[in-house]
Amino acid sequence: MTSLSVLAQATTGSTSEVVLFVVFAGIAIGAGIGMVAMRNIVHGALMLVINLLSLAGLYLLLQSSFLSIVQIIVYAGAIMVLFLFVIMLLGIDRDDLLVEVSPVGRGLAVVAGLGVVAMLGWGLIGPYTSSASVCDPDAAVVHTSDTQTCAGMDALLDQAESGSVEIVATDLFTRWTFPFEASALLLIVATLGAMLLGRRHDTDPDDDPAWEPSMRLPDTDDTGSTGDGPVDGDTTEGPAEPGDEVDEVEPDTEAPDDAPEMTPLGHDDAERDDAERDDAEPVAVGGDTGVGANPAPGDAGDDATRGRDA
Amino acid sequence: MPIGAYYLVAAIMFATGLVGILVRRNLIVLFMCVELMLNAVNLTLVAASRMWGGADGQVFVFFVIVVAAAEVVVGLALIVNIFFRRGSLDVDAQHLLEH
Amino acid sequence: MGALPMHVLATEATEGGEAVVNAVMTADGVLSLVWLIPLVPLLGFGLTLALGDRVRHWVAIAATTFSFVMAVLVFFAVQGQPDSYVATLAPFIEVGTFRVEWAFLVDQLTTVMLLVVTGVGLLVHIYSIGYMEGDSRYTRFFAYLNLFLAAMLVLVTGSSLLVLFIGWEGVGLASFLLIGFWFEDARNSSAATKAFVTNRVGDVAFMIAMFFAFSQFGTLDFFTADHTGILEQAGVLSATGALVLGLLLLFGAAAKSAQIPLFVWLPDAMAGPTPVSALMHAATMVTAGVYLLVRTSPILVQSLDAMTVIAWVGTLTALLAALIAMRQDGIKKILAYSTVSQLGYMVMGVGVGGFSEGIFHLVTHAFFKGLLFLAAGSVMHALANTESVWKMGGLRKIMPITFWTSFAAWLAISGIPPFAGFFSKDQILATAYDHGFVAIWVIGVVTAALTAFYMTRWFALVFLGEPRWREGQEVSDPHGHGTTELHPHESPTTMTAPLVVLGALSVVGGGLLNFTHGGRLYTWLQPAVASIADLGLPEHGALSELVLIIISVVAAVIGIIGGFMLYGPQRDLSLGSSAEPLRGPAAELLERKFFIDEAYSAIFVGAGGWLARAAAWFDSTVIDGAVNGVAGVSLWFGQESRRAQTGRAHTYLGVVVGSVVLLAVVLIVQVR
Repeated sequence: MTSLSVLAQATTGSTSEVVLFVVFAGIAIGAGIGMVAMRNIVHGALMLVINLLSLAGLYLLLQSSFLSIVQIIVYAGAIMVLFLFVIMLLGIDRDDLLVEVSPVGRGLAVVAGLGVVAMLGWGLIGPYTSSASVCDPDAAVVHTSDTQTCAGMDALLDQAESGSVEIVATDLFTRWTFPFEASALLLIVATLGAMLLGRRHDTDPDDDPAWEPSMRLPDTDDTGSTGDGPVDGDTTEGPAEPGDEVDEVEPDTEAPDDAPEMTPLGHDDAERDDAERDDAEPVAVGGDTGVGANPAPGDAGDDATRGRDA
Repeated sequence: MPIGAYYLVAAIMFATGLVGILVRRNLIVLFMCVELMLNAVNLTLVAASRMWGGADGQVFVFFVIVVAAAEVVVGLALIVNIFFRRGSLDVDAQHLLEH
Repeated sequence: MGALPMHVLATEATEGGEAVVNAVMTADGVLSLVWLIPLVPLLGFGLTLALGDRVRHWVAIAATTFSFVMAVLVFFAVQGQPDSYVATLAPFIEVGTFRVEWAFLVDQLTTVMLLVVTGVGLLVHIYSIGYMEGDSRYTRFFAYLNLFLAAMLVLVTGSSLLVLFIGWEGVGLASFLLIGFWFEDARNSSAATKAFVTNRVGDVAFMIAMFFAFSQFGTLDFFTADHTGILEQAGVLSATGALVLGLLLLFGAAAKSAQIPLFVWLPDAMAGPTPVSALMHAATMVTAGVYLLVRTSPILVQSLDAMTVIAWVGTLTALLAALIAMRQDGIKKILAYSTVSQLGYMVMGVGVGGFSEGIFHLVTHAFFKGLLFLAAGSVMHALANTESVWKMGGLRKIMPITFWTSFAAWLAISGIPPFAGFFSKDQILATAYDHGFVAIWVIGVVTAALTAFYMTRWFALVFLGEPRWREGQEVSDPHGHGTTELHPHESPTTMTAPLVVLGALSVVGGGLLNFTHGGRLYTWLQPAVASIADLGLPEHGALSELVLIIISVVAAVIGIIGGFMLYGPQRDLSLGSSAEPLRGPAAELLERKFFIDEAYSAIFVGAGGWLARAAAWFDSTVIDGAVNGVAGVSLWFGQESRRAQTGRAHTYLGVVVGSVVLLAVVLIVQVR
């Protein structure tokens, strides 16, 4: 059929719907292409945000106001923000790699895309774009055998008091309860996974000079009633330091878990820290080391010098 | 508007995302193109929901959004890990998938 | 003896050897035990090997004596009964319609063979006590001798071609073991291998003959209960079938009995110990072929062409071997070629229709040739295993027993009456002449003269004249045991006693057995051999029997005189082999055995080698190449397929996208 007749049919229906559709659809498509073509990743992400917002507008036109709001809040407002967080975090705001894809590959990909559009269009244009497919129950339409009719959401919306929200909620909490609960479980799992994946393993606070302890306890005396423990009891290092005399007399008086231990931020392995501390500090330094890992690692340098001085 | 128009828009968006996947080499951009394709499907579903006059499509879209959110969270965490391990986000980097 | 399930079948033989099955007769005590005759030496073989050096020769000799005594008893049991007896022990093979049983046949022919084999076997066993004394594998020698005896006895008593063939192969094995008895010398081993391989060629022909016989007759038994034995229904053969079967049997016999073209193994077989040469390669094993031909004579008489071929093969072999023997220098080599020549006579006799005459010559030949070999062994024993006749001579006074027995054997083989060989050889020649084979007769007479000549040469060089050795001379041992001093003396009694026995038989044996052409042995053997009445051969030739006798005696005398003229004691032969009077290119040809061995080597070994190399090339290049090529193809395929695994995400993405698009197209096309 000629493009003119398509246009003629396409413009059947209320004028405002047509205008708004053209605007939103155009923005969506343009933003999509822009996102793909942009070299700057941040700009691309912003393009995607525009696309999502225009999609929200399209949802409004499709009489599902609930979903349009959900789209804005969740998709554009949370997911894309997350994207931007990561982009900023990794500091890769400029993508120079776009140029390295070979022109042949790019050309083929474009051809594939056009092919997909053509294929889908061939399937859609005709049955779905005729005047019978207009979702206006009042308009006079001609129904033929190979066209799809559009029922529209008016009937459903008339029944619901709260509109689109009630329509979705009714099904969600009655018929689709199990998937709903399952998706809740999915979200929990995803959260846990993200937390696990986002752990930092490699950087040892002992090696990170910028790390500052979040909690610092005051210095206690060197007698170290709580100063003994893991450092002295189980290592053979530091045999002849004068500061160790007291500690060596009482090798196993205190177990490390007697002392209140504070886990520094990002560390969840107190024992490992103890071992590292043992390696780092052959010399028993007194009460500071005894009370726990907290002050010692951070003061490794200080404690070591102090120990040696002592 | 005939309902097919919405379908066509969705098709164009989907194709755009597809081209983006095939062309771009940056992992994050790849991810965003996948999101674009998901949204195209969402649009199709909502339009279909209107066409049939039922709520099923919209419920489906609801779940798609939930799953997409979860997927993005985990995926971005993975991307961060990949970046810190390799130093680059080039998906065509040598032996990316072979290790 | 009723405990053993036995089936004894008696066939009543009429004049001319056509067997008609009579009623089943119960077995006489001895005849039903005929299977003990081969079994006891077999047990002797096993026991001797198992008990080792403790028993030395006693078990073997006891076993052989037992078999000899049993053979004598069988002889007396068969006397006066013109029947063939079959004693069945147990079934052997039963496949469909093919049945073979462990069955033993006893008739006059069998009895003759039994007596010869066990008698000469016993004498050789006794001889070996003295000859093999001091050998490191003394006991094993006797074990092998018993094994040979067992196999040979199975051969002559076998009641079907297959059982005969088992014995046939068994003697081949024993021959291999015994020829290569001193295997430390590689020449002995290769001689043993040559014997075995050459016999194998004949065995193939024998097997094809068996297949053919089975296809024609449906059985391999000589006699069966319902007249369907191969000797009973020989008439079902067509002319071509009879010719084919006859020629196949001839070829099989030619290997064992050293006829053209498969005689080349026998001279080399002299590498074995002398008792082996005497027993196997003079008296028994080589006669197996002749026995086979005589046993299957009902089949042979179906085809005059086959018999003519057989006769000519025998004649030419006799002539050729006699010529070669004239110029050989080894004491045993001369006798070996003489054996080939005499076997040619026997085959000639079979071919012209003189079956009984052939067997008669077989018997007398066992006497004098066995004696000659044992005497040669005695001489070698005295002269520290010297082999060349040019290093002997002058032994007449030193070894009197050996000398006089050899004298008797020499006259016997030369065909001088009244010694044994005269009767048998002359009767064969007379049969040839009477049945119209005049050319064969002429060649036979000439060969008889040659035989007398070279045997005289042998006798004169070994025993007569001045000794060509010195007392106390140091000679190197041919077996590589260093050097020994020569002190020739007569051999011990264990060695000379068998000589005397055989010497006596060589003197009187011929006359006793078959004084005239239709004498005792001839008449006795008639039921066991085929009648030639249907062949249409003439009964008598132009010349009378007496004239023929005179002619052959004259030929023999001429040969003897010639031998004495050239090699007699009056000539000065002290120079050794350079004093050989026969010289010139013709003599050279004879000495080199007409280059037959070299020709065989070049043709068969060369061709076989070429074939083997070609096959090896084919195997390594084509077949291995194909197999490796398959592996290579799959390897290449794998390596090329590996390229699909690029490790690049975009490749996989592209593949996924493409596939999805394709699927979608299909779906949409279906919907639309």
